[in-house]
Amino acid sequence: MPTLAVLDASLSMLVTASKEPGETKLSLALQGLKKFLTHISQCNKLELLSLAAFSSSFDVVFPFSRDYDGIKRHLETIEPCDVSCISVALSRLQSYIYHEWGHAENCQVIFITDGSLGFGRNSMVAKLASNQFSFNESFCFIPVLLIDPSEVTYATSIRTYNRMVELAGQGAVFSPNGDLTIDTVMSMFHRICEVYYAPFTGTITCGCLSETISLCPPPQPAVLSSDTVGRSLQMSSNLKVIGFVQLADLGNPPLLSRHLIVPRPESGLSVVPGDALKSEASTDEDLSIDEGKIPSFCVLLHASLKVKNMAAFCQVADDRFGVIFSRADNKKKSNLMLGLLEPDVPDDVQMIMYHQFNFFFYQVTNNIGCLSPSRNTYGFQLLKT
Amino acid sequence: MTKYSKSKHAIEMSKAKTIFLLDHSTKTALNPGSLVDLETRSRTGIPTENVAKPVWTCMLEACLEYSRIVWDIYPNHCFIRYIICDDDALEIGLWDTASQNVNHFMNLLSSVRSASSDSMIGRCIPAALDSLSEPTENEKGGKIKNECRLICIGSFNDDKHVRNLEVMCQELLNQKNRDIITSGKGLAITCLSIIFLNVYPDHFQVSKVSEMLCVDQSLQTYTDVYSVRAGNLSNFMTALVLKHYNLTSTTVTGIPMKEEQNASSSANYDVEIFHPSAAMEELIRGDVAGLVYAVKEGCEYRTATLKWNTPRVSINDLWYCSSAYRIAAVDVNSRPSSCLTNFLLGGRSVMLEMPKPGGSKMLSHMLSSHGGEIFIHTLVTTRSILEDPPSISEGAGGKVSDYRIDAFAEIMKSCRLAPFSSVEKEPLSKAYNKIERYTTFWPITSSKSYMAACQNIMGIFPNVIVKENLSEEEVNQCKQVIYNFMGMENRGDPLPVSNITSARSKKREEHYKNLFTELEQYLRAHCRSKQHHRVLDCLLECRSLAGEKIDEKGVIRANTDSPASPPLAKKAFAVTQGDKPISLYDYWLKNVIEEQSNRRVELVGRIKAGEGIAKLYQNLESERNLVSQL
Repeated sequence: MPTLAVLDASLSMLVTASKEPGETKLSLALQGLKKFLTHISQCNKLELLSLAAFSSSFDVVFPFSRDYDGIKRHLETIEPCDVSCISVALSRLQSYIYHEWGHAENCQVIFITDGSLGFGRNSMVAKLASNQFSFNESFCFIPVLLIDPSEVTYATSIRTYNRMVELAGQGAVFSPNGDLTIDTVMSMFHRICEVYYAPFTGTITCGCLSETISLCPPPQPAVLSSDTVGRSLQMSSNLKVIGFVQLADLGNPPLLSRHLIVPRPESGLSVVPGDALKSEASTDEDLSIDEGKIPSFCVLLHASLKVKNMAAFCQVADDRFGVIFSRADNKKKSNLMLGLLEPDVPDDVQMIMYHQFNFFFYQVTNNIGCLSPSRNTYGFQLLKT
Repeated sequence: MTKYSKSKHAIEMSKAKTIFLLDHSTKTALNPGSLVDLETRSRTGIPTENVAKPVWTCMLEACLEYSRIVWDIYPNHCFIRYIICDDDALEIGLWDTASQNVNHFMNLLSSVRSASSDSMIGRCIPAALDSLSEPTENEKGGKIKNECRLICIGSFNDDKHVRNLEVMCQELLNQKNRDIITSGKGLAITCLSIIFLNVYPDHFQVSKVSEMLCVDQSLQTYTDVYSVRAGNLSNFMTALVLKHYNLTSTTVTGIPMKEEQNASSSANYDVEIFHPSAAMEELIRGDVAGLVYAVKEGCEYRTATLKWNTPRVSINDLWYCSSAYRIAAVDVNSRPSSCLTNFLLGGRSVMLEMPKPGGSKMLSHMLSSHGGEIFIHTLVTTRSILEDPPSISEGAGGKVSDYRIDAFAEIMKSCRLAPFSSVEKEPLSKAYNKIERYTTFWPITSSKSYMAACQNIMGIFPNVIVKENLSEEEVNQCKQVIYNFMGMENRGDPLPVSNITSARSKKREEHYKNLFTELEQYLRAHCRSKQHHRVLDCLLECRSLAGEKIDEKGVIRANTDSPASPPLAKKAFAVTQGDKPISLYDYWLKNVIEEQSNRRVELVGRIKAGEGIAKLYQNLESERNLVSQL
């Protein structure tokens, strides 16, 4: 998920935190964001982040990139301006997200503010009350309120932002547990990382061969629009390879989502290309060379699939399957990818839209066959050699 | 990622059961509908009379085309039936997939006889409602919403005629639902869309029936009335099928085709196809400001234009598609359509590109055929967060250069998947079992495995051992491999272990010792049948004869040993005859003799003699004694 961190750079952020003299709300926010960026650079290395600041205007400080150190440096350049205009910020950030990502990717917006909602008719409270406010785009709205329970506007702010999250449809409001101190702010950002940025670690198993892996981006529970019940489909942490097919026979099946398979994430090897690796200390460099020289099953699988133009079928949950294949981008770098197939829908749920797997055919020798003609029975039989 | 969804009702009705009530009365059967374009040559120069298709023919052609499009795109999901409203009231088609095809319907239509004198639509409505309350093949066994469509096509007298039919329909529907509730049999019709299509001949100036649309919320019926000229009926029905089944028309432009006569030049043709609208709506989630919709000439619907992109793509790329839907060619018999269809059925894929507002182009869709049917795949064109990922060789394990890629490729070939037949039980577990067998004790690099280094000498040994059971011949072949290695060791032949870095400092005897240790671990991991045990026993005997002590604790384990291999079974073995250890030659001879003796009946003399040499001429001694006594 691409993430946009939006920081309130209005004058009200310069208020000193009552329980933490020496720190303003803005400085607490910057420290929290730095901790957040450190977490991302360690655990979600392929996350794309952008930084923006708003007051009466909305400015993109750093466009979407993986240069977390660059974003950290630009944090220092944010200067407070004037009043906070929440509605302006929200509408501008929506157009920015749409411009960058269209409707396909679900962005996460971490909206850091001190809870001030404006005054009079232009305040968010008034706008929500008169139903003048709505979201045009779909995104995950994560308001982070740097507000002390002793403040007068505490309850109103929390309530208003909760209402906005409801309107957005996804997300949650975060506020410090207790008084506004450096510790509570840090633990709040830690909670955000746990909920929204927990990396996915699992294993890939091919018979007796296995390896720990991480998936990037972490798979989200999928909700089928064809499912009238609206079940949320989870996946297990083990990808079990069932067998292999030729890519030409696979026939470009529709995929629910694609994920990069990163082998042995605990090895600590930096997977960000170029500078990030070189800037590591020399002792780490020794470690990274050793890790690169320890054989990895994923590398073997990737090389074999690429050489033979094949893909591996794997089971990711009881009723969910995926395809593992080698993918090369335009610059000739190739990777191992997992594509998740849409699962079957049981008989008791009326299927009113297309069903992806029914369109999935392939050719075996000269016999044209159809996979999964009946529901709920994904069966695979191996070719008799 | 959320998917685009239209209004729930539109989606649900798009899969509704449909019954056509076709009015086969003299009004439709005998009235001339539209003129047929005929080129005639008459010698006398007098223009011949024009031939006209009756309204009935126009109706049937339009209905069959409607049905063909539906069956091409939704073969097992959408069900259509006809009721020919004449004196015989013939019902065509059933709610099962076997009858839902054009050939079947045309065969049944051949039994339609003479037209009735009056319109019989009213009398056929009860039969239609009876059929609609039966479940289709897909609807059996479950409480589902039964939403249906009734299309009445004929030449109606006036608005009053239509209104009477509508009222009759609503009353009969009400009654039918009440009967179903009381009797408990059948599916109550929850929503009925009634369409009256008045077809009038081309030469009529004005239609006697006016178009209208009304909704009756209480009875859950939606009534549409249309009035169409016979000549325009085909186009109209095509627009109707697009609306009913939520389909979109796309015109593929710029297809280069060569004429047979002019083989050197090629011209660009257009081919129009129909497909579910969702194939375009998926794209709308991206940036589709450039998609051009134009109203097709002479038709009431719009068609999107996508340009053919010369297929330079390799079939070995996996494109990121978000959906795939079947297509139906609009003009099936036209030469450009059949040319494109044959091209696709030949296995080639076609990319379609869409113009973008800035003047650039973007590949948006792909046409390809699977299993004899043609599909349109919607490509995901939006920016991905996986842009510019690091290469896998920059990560863990990326610097190793001796992965056993070819050997793993052999495993992949052996474990290829295929569609399962319903006879096969639990095919998934069978697949897992096979891949587990093939990957038991399988080092992923060749630099530490002696067996991998000697794979030329091993021959078919690894291929055979991974099987569930071994035949007698296979057991012997495996034993032969072991004997070969023993022979090589005795002769002092070097093993081809130059790739193994740790082997360089070791002596030849150590190489063989490591090889046999690895072989033993391998066989122990694969001991799943008696035959496998025999091969293992053979190896253990050979090693013990060579004087090697078998000490489980001292067994050298390779670094890349499979963690899933079972612990060593405690098995001490020695080959003795009596109490003395025997030589390999004696042991081999003993085995050969045993095998051969099993093939024939033993000589009686030998059996009687037991162990030791059989004494010949036993009676000679006794005779000599007898003679000497005399």
